[in-house]
Amino acid sequence: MFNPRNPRFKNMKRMKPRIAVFKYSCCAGCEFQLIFFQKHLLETLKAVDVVYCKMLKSGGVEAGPFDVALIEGAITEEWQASQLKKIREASRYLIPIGSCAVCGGIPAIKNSTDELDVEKRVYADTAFLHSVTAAPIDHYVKVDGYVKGCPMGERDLDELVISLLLGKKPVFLEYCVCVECKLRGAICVLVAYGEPCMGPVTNAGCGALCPVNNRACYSCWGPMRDANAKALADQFLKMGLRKEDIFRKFTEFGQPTDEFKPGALT
Amino acid sequence: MKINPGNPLLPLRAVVLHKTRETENTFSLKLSLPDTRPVTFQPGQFNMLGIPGIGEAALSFSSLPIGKRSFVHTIRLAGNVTEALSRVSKGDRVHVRGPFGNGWPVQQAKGKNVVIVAGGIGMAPLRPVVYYLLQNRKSFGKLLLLYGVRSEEDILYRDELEDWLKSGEIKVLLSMDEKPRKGILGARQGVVTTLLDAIDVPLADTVTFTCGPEIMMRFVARQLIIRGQGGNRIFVSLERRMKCGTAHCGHCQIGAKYVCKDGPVFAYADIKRFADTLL
Amino acid sequence: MKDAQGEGYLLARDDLFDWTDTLLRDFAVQGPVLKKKGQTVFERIDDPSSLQLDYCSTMLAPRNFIYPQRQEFLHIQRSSGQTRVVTPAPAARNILFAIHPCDMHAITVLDRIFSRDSWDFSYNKARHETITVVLNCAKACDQGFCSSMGTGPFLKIKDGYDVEITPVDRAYVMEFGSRRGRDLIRKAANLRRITGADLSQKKRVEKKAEASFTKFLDTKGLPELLARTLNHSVYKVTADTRCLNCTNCTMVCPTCYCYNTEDLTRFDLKQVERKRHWDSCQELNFARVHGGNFRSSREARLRQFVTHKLCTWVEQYGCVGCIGCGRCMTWCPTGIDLTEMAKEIQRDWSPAEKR
Repeated sequence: MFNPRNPRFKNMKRMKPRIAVFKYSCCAGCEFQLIFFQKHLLETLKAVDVVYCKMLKSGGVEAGPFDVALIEGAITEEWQASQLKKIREASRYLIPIGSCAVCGGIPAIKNSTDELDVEKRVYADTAFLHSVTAAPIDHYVKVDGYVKGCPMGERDLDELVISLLLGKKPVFLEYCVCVECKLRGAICVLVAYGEPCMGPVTNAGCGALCPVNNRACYSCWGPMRDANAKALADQFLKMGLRKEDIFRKFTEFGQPTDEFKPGALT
Repeated sequence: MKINPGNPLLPLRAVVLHKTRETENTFSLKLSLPDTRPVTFQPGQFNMLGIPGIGEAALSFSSLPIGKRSFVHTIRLAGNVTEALSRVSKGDRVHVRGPFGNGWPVQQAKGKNVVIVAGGIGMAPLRPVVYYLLQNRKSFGKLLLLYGVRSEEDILYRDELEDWLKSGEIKVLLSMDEKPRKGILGARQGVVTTLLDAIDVPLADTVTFTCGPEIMMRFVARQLIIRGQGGNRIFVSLERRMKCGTAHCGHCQIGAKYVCKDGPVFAYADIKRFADTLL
Repeated sequence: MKDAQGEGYLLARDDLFDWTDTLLRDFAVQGPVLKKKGQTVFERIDDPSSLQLDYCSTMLAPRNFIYPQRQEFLHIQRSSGQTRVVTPAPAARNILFAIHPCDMHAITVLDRIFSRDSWDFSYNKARHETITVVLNCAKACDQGFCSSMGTGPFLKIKDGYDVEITPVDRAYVMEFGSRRGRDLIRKAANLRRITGADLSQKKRVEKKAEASFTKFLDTKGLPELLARTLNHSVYKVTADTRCLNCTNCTMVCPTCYCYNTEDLTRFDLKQVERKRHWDSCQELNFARVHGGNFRSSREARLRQFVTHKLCTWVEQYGCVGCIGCGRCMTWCPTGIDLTEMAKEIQRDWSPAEKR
């Protein structure tokens, strides 16, 4: 990941990678997951220099430069977008962490409702609000990979940290939950038990946590690249699900994504 | 050097003897195996070079065997493994498994004219063919090397090309996407297929070896067939994702062919019948 | 060996459990066990009564006991590059018990892949140390069409397996395909040699089983036909409207062998585990190289699955890659049926050829 030939940050070559963590609209669970990186926290902190992370320490250098900026949360206000662009400028690598940052996640559920209605439902006085449609990070800036999950998954996080330490480009999982499910030998809950499982269209990384426990996947990792959401939605219809339920399944996580739109519109 | 026939997934450790920078994004590694068994391989075959913790990549030989135990790989920066290989230096060790695959069918070309069409990094696996042809010059008819590059900076093995050109044993023609400066190996502007007009030998009595981007090989092969060459006399070298080199991992399959076992060199007519190529 | 009269044995139905009990003392017996909602899985049994011998088909074929889903095969010291081969856990005491003839056949197909041209150390080690006990099928599975593929309902191969069991009236005909199998059978009490009458009874069961099939595939000329029809619309239509890319078909297929490797570096950065896990041609990145993907469309990936199983496999290994177990269609969430796709192509092309 740290290409020594990259001229831009030449003088930083021998230094510990400088990490910054920024939080936008989300539950802060991913940042917590980072700090709660139980098994490897000590090794990681020895090897990297966390220069900005509100949950870890006060203060910090907000302006950068950073080797890696980790962004959690969706963009739901204008100021967030402009700050994000500045962070992008100041960072070599910018990686969204967790479903909200990767694909809109929970905050993006509001996108299906009129923005004013959403504001009114939550706040008595909406005069001071400048909220916008919730969007993932890559809607505003170029990103260098995604650590998916809700909260972000351990496998991809491990891969990110190890890649940082080894100086390689991380290889994140891009296949669906079904792969992990079968690799664990779990019975397919969609086929065998008729559960409306979102596994076939959902990105892997969780180790098929729900299907392994005989529960349908609800897509908290967000969509897999090239997912065929329409075909799965059609199958749900055949199984007797109502259209509203199918809509909810495809907008619970990943509302703004192109992959899930055809499913939600079924 | 057939490594560990009992377990072809087990690599040997080779020592880096020499590292040369070829172009902006290519470099050559001269490797040596600390093993008493002599190294044998054919031009066109490949090794899996590996860096522990990063992975392995399939890379063609860019030389004939040097001495008993050494060989050269010319490598273009592409992914994690090649990046990591670019960071090794003299004396370091890298993992080697191989040789895998078949080679260029130079025996089939005996007594015939040989046209070599290379594009970009495709020159690397063809260099040992040129070496072989020149070493056994009398066994072959006329030799032509057509080499297409993007710009002057992308020319591989420039000194050697000039030597070959001077020797007169092989006709060397160069094409460049950019307008070339004067005097660079007589390069002309255009893609490599524009050089096919310069082929001055009867194609019916010719064997063609080509390596480069798959879309380039498509145009080369189709034009040669239009000009009268048989599809089974045109040989292409293909690149696919490879993990094992032993026809087990399944990634490199094109129809019924494994690029790692049946290739990487194929007769154009034999591989064109399958789906999922650009040929 | 199995056909030589008098070389087999007859074991009374009730004695089979005693025999299994005997085997449990010396072996790890991996047998079919009934799970929630009628699903059967292969797992280690410690009580013969948990065996579910009257099972249709498991989701995963028992191939994972020989070729596990995930496997570390090399351990590397990162600084020195020194390697150590990770030997698979000793399988010497493993018995695959009561596997169906199709699954046994599939294992012999995998044998060709992993040992013919080059030798896969881990696979072959586990394969040679695993004892296989085949149970012939008295009736067809719902989705099975093994009779069309020549892999069932009774064992059709002459070697590669150890024991062949056939359920007949109130007894089992026990035959063997290896010396190891014969020794295994002889551990049973109350054996008696089979007679001609037993063999003709076995024949009757086989006839009855063969008559129970509802699913067929005409494989005559199919490989050639599929090779000619690579651009048939069935691939695109099915891929667009039904295929989810979920990889279920290839994960449950007993002859699928593709794997991917990855290097897992431990956090001390000193040790590297080189691992492999089952991979699938239905996965988006399966054929990706630097700068391109040779099967970026779902259509191409689906075609790869169908044509590989029914067409190109023949050129590669001299046999069809499909053993007719029906798992890919059973476990496809949208019910894509390999035989229906083949039949659609046959319907479209056969009349034209007759003309």
